[in-house]
Amino acid sequence: MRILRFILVKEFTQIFRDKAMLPILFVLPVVQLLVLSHAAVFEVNGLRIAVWDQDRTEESRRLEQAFRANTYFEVVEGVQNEAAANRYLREGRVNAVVMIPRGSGVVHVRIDAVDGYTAGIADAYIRQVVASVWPPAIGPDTRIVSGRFRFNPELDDKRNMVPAILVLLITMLGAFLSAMNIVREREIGTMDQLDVTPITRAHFILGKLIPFWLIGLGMFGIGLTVAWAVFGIVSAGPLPVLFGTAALYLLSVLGLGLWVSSVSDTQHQAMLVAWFLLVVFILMSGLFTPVSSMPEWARHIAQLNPVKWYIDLVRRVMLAGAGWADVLPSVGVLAVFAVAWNSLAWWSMRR
Amino acid sequence: MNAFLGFILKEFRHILRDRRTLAILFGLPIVQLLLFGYAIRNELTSAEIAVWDQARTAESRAAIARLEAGGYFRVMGRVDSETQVDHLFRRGVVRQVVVFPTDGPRVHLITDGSDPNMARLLQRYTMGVLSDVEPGKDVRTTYLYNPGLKSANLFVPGLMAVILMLVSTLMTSISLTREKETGTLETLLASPLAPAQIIWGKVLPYLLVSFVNVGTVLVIARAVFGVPFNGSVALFIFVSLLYAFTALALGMLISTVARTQQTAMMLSLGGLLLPTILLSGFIYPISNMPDILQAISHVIPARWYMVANRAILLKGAGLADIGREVLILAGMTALFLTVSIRRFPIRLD
Repeated sequence: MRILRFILVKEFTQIFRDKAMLPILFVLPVVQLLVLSHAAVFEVNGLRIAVWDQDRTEESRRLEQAFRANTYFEVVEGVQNEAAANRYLREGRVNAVVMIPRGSGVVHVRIDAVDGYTAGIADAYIRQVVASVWPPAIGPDTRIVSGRFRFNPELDDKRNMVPAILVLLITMLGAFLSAMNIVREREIGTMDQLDVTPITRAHFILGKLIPFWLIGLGMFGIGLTVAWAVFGIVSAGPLPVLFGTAALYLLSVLGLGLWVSSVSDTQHQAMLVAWFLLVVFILMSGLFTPVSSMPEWARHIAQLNPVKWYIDLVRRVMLAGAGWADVLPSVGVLAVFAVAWNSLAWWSMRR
Repeated sequence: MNAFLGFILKEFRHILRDRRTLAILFGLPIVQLLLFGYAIRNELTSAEIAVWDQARTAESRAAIARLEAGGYFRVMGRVDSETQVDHLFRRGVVRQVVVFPTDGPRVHLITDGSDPNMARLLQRYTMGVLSDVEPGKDVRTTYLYNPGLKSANLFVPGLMAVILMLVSTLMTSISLTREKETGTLETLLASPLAPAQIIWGKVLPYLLVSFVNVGTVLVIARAVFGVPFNGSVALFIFVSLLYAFTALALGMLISTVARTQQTAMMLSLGGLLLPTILLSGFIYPISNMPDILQAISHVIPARWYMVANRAILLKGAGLADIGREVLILAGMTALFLTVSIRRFPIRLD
């Protein structure tokens, strides 16, 4: 126990000795949380469109007026011929050109689809405007579909992004710190010195894990405070579930980092491998695109992704108010990751 | 000049000698592009839903069959109470419940809104499958530059930007810090090389490594994902190399500032990863962001490269069309290099 205390003091001194490290550990994540949470705006506003009215009837003018009155659109002038339509689209001055041909009752729309997401939304909005001016016929047997959203009725993207980005930040913090650590001792030669001390492998690993684990949990607490104070997001589910699962989750991430560290020759290698894993974890976490939309083999790979499991878990606790009983299966998976990766780290450190 | 050449050769040999790192440098971009090119898509397929059939008519059964047939949804089960709906949502078993009420041909959707992006997709697709009232039936849409709205065409150019940025920055960001940490910087400082020569000597060999990476991502994008190639190949390679150069210079800057490899890594990974993914327009359209974020996105090199490479690949743009982006990337590179040379540690501390 005494030995462990000495090691912990040494590790903490080492982490905080580098003056540049403190802001990197605590300020950089908070700034990113504050800034990046605003980036995810799927609501499309200010679509620039040009209306090219060839029909010039009462009907077509009503349609043009409807586009001007709609706040989603900003109508750009000056498209009255084919050449202008193509030029405006190619130069990105408009997102779409709405053309009303003479007397056909049909609207032709050309959309710049380089950004496919915006293009799909633009199409849906344009259809809504057209439908509001030329309403479709509804009979007694017409099936009408209506919907509502649970847990986040306004579909506020921030209520999803803030917790998710917080998870990504503590993941990066934990994984990078631990991945660089053991290999560093090896590279600068202090590993050999440790070999001749009475420090056992268990002491060594615990000495590495505990400081990072505490830093990660501290960051998680700071992040939840920021979410509440700045974004007004309060967890619907119990806080002990959040912190308990965060502790388990961090343990698995740190174990993975230690494993990477113990199989790498140099810090550069450890860094590249940690980067590779993190990018895979983040992009396949289901935060940006649905996991269910991936091809089947990729969905199987995603099952090994701790970030995917934990973002889903945090989302369910914070937004849907899930408790221990609801998250138990996910907790089991995280526990398996934690045990597996820490064992691998333990085993490969023998060399 | 001879000393400079010798230095470059030495650096180059350093890179080539470490086979394992070199394999990682070449291999990772390939694996990532292949993996993400397939996995990242925003069309809905096999999304987990449940149905709540209160009507129990032939009508409602036909509608459920239609939901199951499309390939968009996977019907995981049936519910018959509001508490069951809550239970399923909280355990994350399904994302949406489709309710067929007893009164008439209406359908009601209860969608888990905790993932707003998914929630929007679900309702849009369900309405498309079940609704007889399609808004704007009289609208004929043509999608220019990406006719099928293919996910690959949207995401692969973006992936190239993210992968090239990060892998290039990682190459150089620890180059000087490593010498600081292992103590060889002293030897380097005592040599007749000027700071500018040392910086250039560190960056140039990696530019060659980046050239290989640009080549492989290009071949994969074209051969595996069939991303259209409407512009000039030479222009694309030129712009991509310029962009890789920007990233290498940024890595260099980080390595002159950071004292240890660990700091350098936390800066180049912890500080760059999420901004490059989120603020470059790769996933979230920049034009939707609040003004202040749009302003911040101007300093993200990936943003400019992504505009340029989508324009070349999808729109067939020439150098004149992307002149602004090229100038900005060149300006950033010059700035990063100049600051690196200025901040170069002439003395040991």
